[in-house]
Amino acid sequence: MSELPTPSLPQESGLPPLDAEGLLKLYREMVLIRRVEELAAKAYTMRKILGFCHLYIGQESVAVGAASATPDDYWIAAYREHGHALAKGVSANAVMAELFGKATGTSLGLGGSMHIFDKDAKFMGGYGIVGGHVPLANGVGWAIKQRNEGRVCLCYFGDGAAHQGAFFEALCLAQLWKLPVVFICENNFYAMGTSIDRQSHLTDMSLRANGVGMAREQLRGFDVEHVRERVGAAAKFAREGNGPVMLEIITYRHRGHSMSDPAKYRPKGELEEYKLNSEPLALTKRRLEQDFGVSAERIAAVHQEVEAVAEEAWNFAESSPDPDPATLYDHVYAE
Amino acid sequence: MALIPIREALRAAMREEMQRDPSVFLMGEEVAQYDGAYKVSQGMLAEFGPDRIVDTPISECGFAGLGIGAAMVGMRPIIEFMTWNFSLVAYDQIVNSAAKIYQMSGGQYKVPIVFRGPNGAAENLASQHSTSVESLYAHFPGLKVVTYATAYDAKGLLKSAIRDDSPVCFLESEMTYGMKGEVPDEEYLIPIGKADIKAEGSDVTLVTWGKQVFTCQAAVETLKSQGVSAELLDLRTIRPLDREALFNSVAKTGRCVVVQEGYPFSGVGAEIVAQLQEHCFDLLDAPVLRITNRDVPQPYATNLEKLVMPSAERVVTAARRVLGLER
Amino acid sequence: MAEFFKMPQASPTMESGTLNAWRKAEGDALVSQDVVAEVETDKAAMDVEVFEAGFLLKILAQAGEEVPAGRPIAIIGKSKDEDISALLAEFAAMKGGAAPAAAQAAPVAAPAAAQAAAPVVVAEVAPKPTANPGVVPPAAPAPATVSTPGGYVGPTWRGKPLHHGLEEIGGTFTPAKLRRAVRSSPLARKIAEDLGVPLDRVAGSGPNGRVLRADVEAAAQAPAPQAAQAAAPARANELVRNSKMRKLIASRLKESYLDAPTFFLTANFDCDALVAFRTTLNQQASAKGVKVSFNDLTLLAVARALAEVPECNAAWGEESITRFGSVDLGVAVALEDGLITPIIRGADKLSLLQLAAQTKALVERARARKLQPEEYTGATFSVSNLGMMGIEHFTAILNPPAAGILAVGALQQEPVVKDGALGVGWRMRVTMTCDHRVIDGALGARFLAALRQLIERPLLLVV
Repeated sequence: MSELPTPSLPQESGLPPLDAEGLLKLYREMVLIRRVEELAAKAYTMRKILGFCHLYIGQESVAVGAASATPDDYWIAAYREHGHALAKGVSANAVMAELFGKATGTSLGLGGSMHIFDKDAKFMGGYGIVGGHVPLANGVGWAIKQRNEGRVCLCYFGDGAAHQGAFFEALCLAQLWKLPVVFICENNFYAMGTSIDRQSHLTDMSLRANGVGMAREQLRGFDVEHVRERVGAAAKFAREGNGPVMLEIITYRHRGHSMSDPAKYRPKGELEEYKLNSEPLALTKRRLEQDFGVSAERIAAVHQEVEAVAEEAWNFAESSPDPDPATLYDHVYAE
Repeated sequence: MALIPIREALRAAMREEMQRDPSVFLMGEEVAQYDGAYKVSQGMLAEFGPDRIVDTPISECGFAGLGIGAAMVGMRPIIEFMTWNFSLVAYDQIVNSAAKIYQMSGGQYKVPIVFRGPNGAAENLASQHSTSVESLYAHFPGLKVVTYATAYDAKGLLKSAIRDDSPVCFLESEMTYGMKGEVPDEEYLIPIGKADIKAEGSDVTLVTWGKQVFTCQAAVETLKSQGVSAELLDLRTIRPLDREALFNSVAKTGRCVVVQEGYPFSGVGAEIVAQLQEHCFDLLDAPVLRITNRDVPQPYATNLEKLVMPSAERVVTAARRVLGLER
Repeated sequence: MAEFFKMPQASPTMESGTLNAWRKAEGDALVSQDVVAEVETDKAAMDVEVFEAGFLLKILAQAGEEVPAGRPIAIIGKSKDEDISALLAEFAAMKGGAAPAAAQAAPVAAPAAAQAAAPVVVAEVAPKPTANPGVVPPAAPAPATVSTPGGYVGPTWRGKPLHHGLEEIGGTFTPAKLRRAVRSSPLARKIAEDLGVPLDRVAGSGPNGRVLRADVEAAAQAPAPQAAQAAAPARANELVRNSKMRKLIASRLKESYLDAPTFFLTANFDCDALVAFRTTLNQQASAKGVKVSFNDLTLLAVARALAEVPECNAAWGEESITRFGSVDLGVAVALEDGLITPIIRGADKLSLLQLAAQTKALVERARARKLQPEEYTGATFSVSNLGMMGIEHFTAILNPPAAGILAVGALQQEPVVKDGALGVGWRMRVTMTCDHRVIDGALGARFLAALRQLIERPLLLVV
């Protein structure tokens, strides 16, 4: 049996360690995602948000940790992407307005929950066909490489997408051409209602990379600092021209697949167990208080500030105009 | 003015655009070292190098998607399918991503990409290698679908397609790559969305595109010998459809036959007939007829394949029927 | 600030939910994503969460209650001791009548509003249960169709007519409209309309006899179809191209009708003597090969009466009225596709037999379309007789320039009172149309009196 020609990731990301203020900033971003998602859930029950709505609650540490390691890099994500957009710096106002289907939304109300885009933030969208967007990341990687941009492209998808042909083809090409792409499978254990062990013989999706000789790693994603460090290491590896990386980041969504999914398929106590021991916000809060000595008042102030931002997003979305019917055909063909 | 085969006209279009714009690159199966499965890209690897003339694994979904991602961040990929039959494994990439990203991003991300390759039947390639895909792509707002008959049109249209900021499906023909035509020495573009009257006539309009233009040209000659003056309208662009040219021609003749390769059911011909009955109802002197492939998967045997394809004889008969010269 | 906590809209199709159980009690503290209740919807049992921190201040819907989506089920607030009396009053008002609840819910939860509005419609179709418990109410008719004040009869959904969009694309769909007696191309129909060519007169050369553009164009060049071909059994409306004669009739009669202020005088003549006179005359004259009709007798009587009252043998002019020196009597003759009025010149000077012979000749020439213009222009008075067609009484339109025309009704037997006793008599009604600019009522009456003399004493006609 021949050795797999799989390169290994560096031990260090090379990122400076976080101090109290740095971690507090990440905590604030996680809280913002949490609050925006909670308000999205509320708005959905009031039919202010319609269609499909997939919430990121419970997975905040993944996007926020990764964002702090790749602030000027390209991101492309699937349909559970409100959190990624916010982590990447897209304004909460524009995200909420898009969810509300308003003209002031990121995509002018044309995309909705699943199609948030922000070119300025290098956030290349939300896509609704499971696995269909993964090959696009290679194109971004191709352009980065041809233009020597020194950036990477992070491509997010779920464990469900790791069974798609498009995903496999993307891995093959990325490794063949050593593209600066970091594939991030956020394994939250459920592809809609089907648990990971019922989908796949291998339950570590990063092992898929072995088939193409790609660097890979599986990590737990509940600790935002750890995510930052390992995504940072993967980005460094890719940025330095060593080729792509496949990460599986273990996470857990607290809610159903979408707003209409009560998630009754989960074993009793599973959610409670994760909330108790693997709740990203609680873990970071404890670390801030215990290891960095951040006061309860400072943390409360963060919550208060985020509450105002989230409320402002709600008010902005609600008071924004609907798209003008006269613009219906404006974005079919580029001029 | 030079007399060159269509494959050279296409190559000239790509070379000129690649010389002009460094963001243009060609990617596909066998396009580089092999010089192209149909020799369209012959010599281009030597001229532009492996970063811009890129051989791929047999992975249409993968490299079509790659092209789309690259286009989103400002490159101008030309993605070659060895034949459009193989594009169907990349269908999701083209219709769910390329066609829709500009709209669903609220106009933030343009996708300036060309997908190109031979379309439709060649000869004796049987069902899986003989598909005409125009209706599969023309169905989607966001995509442009362009084709040609002559070397002159091929070059001018491909150059426009490469410069277009929207995704373009550019349909070629294996059967006509070697067909020679006059191409000017100086640079020129042919606008997308403009049909061309290949023969003027007054009694009946033959609407067609791609290599069926030649079938219709033969039919026009036969009809002329029978005293019938047929107008031959080459659409050149299927989407956006040049409705002005179509309606004007039918307004002139009052009769129309649509000649279309590929299956009749939900074909582009069906769309044209629908448009004519919606907009030209009172200008028609007879029902619009279609000549298409017979409604069966392409057979391999030569005699059966001939039976399946549109032919000048079938077109003549249809034209005579709309003229009431035949029942 | 306390606010209502409402029945969530768990799915687009959910209209209401049943509260299975409360998981929190009044006074409990809440954090975001706390499950406060369990609700059964059309799809599944689901947990109802709050997305704000605070307190459950008041439960408004009890377990087992079905509540429309968007309607309050509780009051939540930021602190435990908020004043919720205003919200309670508002809720009480909501419970009082469906309307405020619907109005409030409408902007947020459309299905709830629709449901609140539904009973209005249901009341139209479903009889209310009777008050008498012993009487079984009649089965409610299926609410598949309703009649609306707008006249719509058909299927409805939530009180609104369900249709197939036909109204928007041009009127009610009637298959009969699509049936065409003549197959023709759209272009042929358009050109036929432009050229005024009736399609059913055009022979189609296309498949299945379809009329094509060329057929219509050829038909438009061909001479007008012969009258004999024209008669066709009535079916769909058809276009009959106007002949020159028809156009002339139309323009002359319209001109006359609009130009002259007319009035009508009707007289009923006793014709017993006339009938007896004609019988005797025809018996005695038959040897000569002469036959006199009632029409001949009437025409002569009219001519002689005009000679007696020449003011009625006249025409209006802006400067002066012309009283004609000769009685040139127009006689209306029906043709297949119109009518014409040949003239008996100097009719008052003719003998009965002369007049009968002339009339006969003129009518024959008229029917053969052989009249010269001078034979039918310039009547000084006209007679139109529809009596032989069973018309008892009618009015005629003046034949210009003459100031009078007499419409002659049927000669018929009817009950009459003679010398105080009921008997049977021959009677005929005539109606004179008078141009009031020339003939006043009394003058017209004088003419009719003179005519009565001649009709009722027909021997005077031969003196």
